[in-house]
Amino acid sequence: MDQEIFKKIKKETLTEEEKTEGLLVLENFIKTNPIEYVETKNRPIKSPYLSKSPYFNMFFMRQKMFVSAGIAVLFIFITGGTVFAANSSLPGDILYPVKIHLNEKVESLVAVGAKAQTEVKIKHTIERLKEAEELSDQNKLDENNAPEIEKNFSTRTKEVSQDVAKIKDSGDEKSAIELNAGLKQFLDKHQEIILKLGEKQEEKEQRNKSKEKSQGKN
Amino acid sequence: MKDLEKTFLDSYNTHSDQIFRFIFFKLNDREKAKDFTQEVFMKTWVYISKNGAVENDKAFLYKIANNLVIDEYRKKGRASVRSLDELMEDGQDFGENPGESWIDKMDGEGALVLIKNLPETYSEILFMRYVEELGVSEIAAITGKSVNVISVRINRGIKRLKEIIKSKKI
Repeated sequence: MDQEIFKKIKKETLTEEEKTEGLLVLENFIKTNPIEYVETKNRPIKSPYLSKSPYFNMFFMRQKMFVSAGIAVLFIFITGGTVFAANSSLPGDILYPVKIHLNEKVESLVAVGAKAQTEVKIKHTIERLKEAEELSDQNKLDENNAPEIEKNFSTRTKEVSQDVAKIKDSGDEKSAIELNAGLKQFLDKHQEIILKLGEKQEEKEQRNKSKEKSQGKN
Repeated sequence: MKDLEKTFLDSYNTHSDQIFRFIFFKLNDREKAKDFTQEVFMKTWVYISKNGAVENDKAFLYKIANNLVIDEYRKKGRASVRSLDELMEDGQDFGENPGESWIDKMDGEGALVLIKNLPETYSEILFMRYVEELGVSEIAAITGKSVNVISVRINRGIKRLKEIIKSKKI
């Protein structure tokens, strides 16, 4: 049914006379507007990269180079400063994630060889404990940040122990003994803070338990 | 060079009716549609004479026609669409004799008014699809819409048209 409607509209066309007249007008129009187009198929096209822009001036080019160099220096200055500042940050600081996820990762990547990599890991383990001591000195070590530090420290110690075992298995017993001795000496030196971290962790667990009990009673 | 001229004049013979209908449909003015059709072909020739043959001449012609119509809308506003009731008042009989469809009695202009009473998003596309018999991708190229959008509009437009036909039959 709807197709019939369209068929009816289709019948609306130009008459034969109108068409003939239109064609004549068009033929005359073509004569007065001849073809200007020239086939360019076989003509070589000049590369736009070889032509110099009329607006090109070495002075602006030099300025551009100065600006780019300035931006690069500024970038290095800002990022370098951030990376440097992050090294002395503590848990809870804004730059602390930069220290953990960027600075230390870069250090690990740069270290070549199993021994060097384990040494870097030991260095980071020591760093975790130093951070805890620093916080403790500032009276900022609490049950909120202590468990996190403790967790990081435990993970690192575990990794170091595994690495040392691997080095020993590979036949480099001397390096393994050296690394183990270094770690032990260090852990002895910072035993106090390790115990403190453990205490804080325990405090938090006990508090959580008593909270659960009181909630259970209610 | 003569080939270009010949191809172009052949294209007039093949497409002039379609372009004329398209403009007539848009402007509701036969004389203007005739003049505009001529202008579309002249503009196309100016382009071809400077840049060589166009890839899809049909779509190109419609595109120019569409632009001319838009310019006309800007200058004079859209042509008012007559309602079906106005058409009946003017003597268009919507078939009250038994066994005779009101569509059978409708002339070309009546059919055009019927389509134009649909929302423009549908009427224009239905016109291109079923009157001008353009492919969905051609309509998409002319209107600048995606093929999916065109297909959806065709389906919805047909549905609406059927609803109008049904309501007028009662």
